[in-house]
Amino acid sequence: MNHSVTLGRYLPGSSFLHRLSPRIKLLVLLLFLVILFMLQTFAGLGLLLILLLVAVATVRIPFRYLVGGLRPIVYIVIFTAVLYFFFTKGGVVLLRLGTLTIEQEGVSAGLFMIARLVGLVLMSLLLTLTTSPLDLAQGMEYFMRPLGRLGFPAGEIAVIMSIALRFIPTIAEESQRLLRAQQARGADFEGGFFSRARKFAPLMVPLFIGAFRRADELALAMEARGYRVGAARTRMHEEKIRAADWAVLLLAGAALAAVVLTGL
Amino acid sequence: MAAVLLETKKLTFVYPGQPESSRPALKEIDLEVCAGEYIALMGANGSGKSTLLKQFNALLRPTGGAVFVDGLSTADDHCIPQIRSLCGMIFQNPDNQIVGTTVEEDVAFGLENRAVPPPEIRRRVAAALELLGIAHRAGFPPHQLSGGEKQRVALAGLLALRPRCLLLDEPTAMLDPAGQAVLLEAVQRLNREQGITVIQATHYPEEAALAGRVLLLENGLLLKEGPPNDILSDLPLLRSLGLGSTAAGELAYLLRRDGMPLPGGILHNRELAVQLCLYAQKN
Repeated sequence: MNHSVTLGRYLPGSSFLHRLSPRIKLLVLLLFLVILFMLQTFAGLGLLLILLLVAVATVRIPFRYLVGGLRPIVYIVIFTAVLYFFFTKGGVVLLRLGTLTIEQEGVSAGLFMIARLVGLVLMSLLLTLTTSPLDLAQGMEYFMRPLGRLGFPAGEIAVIMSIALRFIPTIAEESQRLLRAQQARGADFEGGFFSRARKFAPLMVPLFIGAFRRADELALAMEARGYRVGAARTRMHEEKIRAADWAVLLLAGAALAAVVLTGL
Repeated sequence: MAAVLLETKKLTFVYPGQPESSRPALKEIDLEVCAGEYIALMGANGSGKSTLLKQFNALLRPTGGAVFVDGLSTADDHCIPQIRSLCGMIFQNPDNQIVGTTVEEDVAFGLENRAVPPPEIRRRVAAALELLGIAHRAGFPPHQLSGGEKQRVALAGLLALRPRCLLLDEPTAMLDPAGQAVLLEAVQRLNREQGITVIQATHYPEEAALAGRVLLLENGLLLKEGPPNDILSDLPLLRSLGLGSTAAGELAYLLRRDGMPLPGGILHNRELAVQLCLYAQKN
């Protein structure tokens, strides 16, 4: 199993964030995204990061999940750092490497951007680790529902999304199995990026054939269990917005207002 | 005799896209299954086991003849939701029939499709998980379960719908021995205690020996049917179909062929042991 794919992997639990309504969580995420990009000072960004870390602590996310979730952005962080450190000029020259210089403003802007990126990933991790993919899909479906009047199949799309999410780990396992099976017969998947990409092509064919076969069987199983496109369905977990949800939404709104007013 | 639950009349089925003249997947099958029966369906690959099972919940519909479930014809579109509530089906591959992203969401899927009110869904899901001993897995994503647990989740998904008949398409084929035993035990218990009719396609003689009646299929024809100790002791016939009997059945057959006067119809180890002891005493 590939443990580095933490983004979008749900961690069952019963923390406050777990119990929050997914719709509210989506709205709060949106508000915090706005806050994240409105913050102009290290103090404000620091506060936000502290808040996020407190949230992470209350959810009791295992450390390796957190690290695993942050791993995919390592290259983006490095790229950002290089870009800002070397190309944003101003302030005291901190380091001189031949014709290249690292200057104070570049470093501060770079660090600011990196802190923002980390904040962004922490937020999305908090959402996806505490919200089951199905809840997430249903939350999104709720906001798409008005489009239903225009003939947009919101309900079907929620089912499609949840099934896609359900099969990500299964297909990932299958690709690992295919990889090992081909390695066992002498296939070599090492090498540079492009040569590896080319070597993975033979992996894709069986993977897709397998996925299509799965889709056939799944469609049959769904039909056997009474699924019909367009038929009215109910949900096991009706989603109710409770007082705590409203409070969180209100607080997030207040935080946004505070950021706007104080210019943090 | 209990009431007839499933009935086929001259059931013939040709897969769509096949020419009319080609060999049908099922040919003129006449069958009656009573409520509460436990039936094993045996036959080589391609003999029509899955095709026959799929007829009973209208996933496939006859091209000739008719299939009735509790008196409802599968040819009638209006009856299909009801037929699928009466007859639930489990497939061979546990991975490809789980729809939900968590165990309880998957068990709820069939109920959600029938627009059952949410509090009722939660009650029935909890009861079904409890009955199959997987309540502690309720919040787990399916990929973290073993194969046997996945099949029990699929079974729970059917039970929540309170079906009268379970159609099991080689449900143990991809499980380890421990998973097979637990699943079979659960199915037998449902059959015994709740009177749920079971039709199980299987390659394993040991599983067929547990049934009340065994049906032998060959090339879409219902070749022979009867109690397991009749069907499974006919080794020449089974072998000609590429099948076999239980270990005890095979051994009893060989011993009889060697002239040992054992009675016919031995399938279980215990029966064989008893008969051998009796034989030893006499000599």
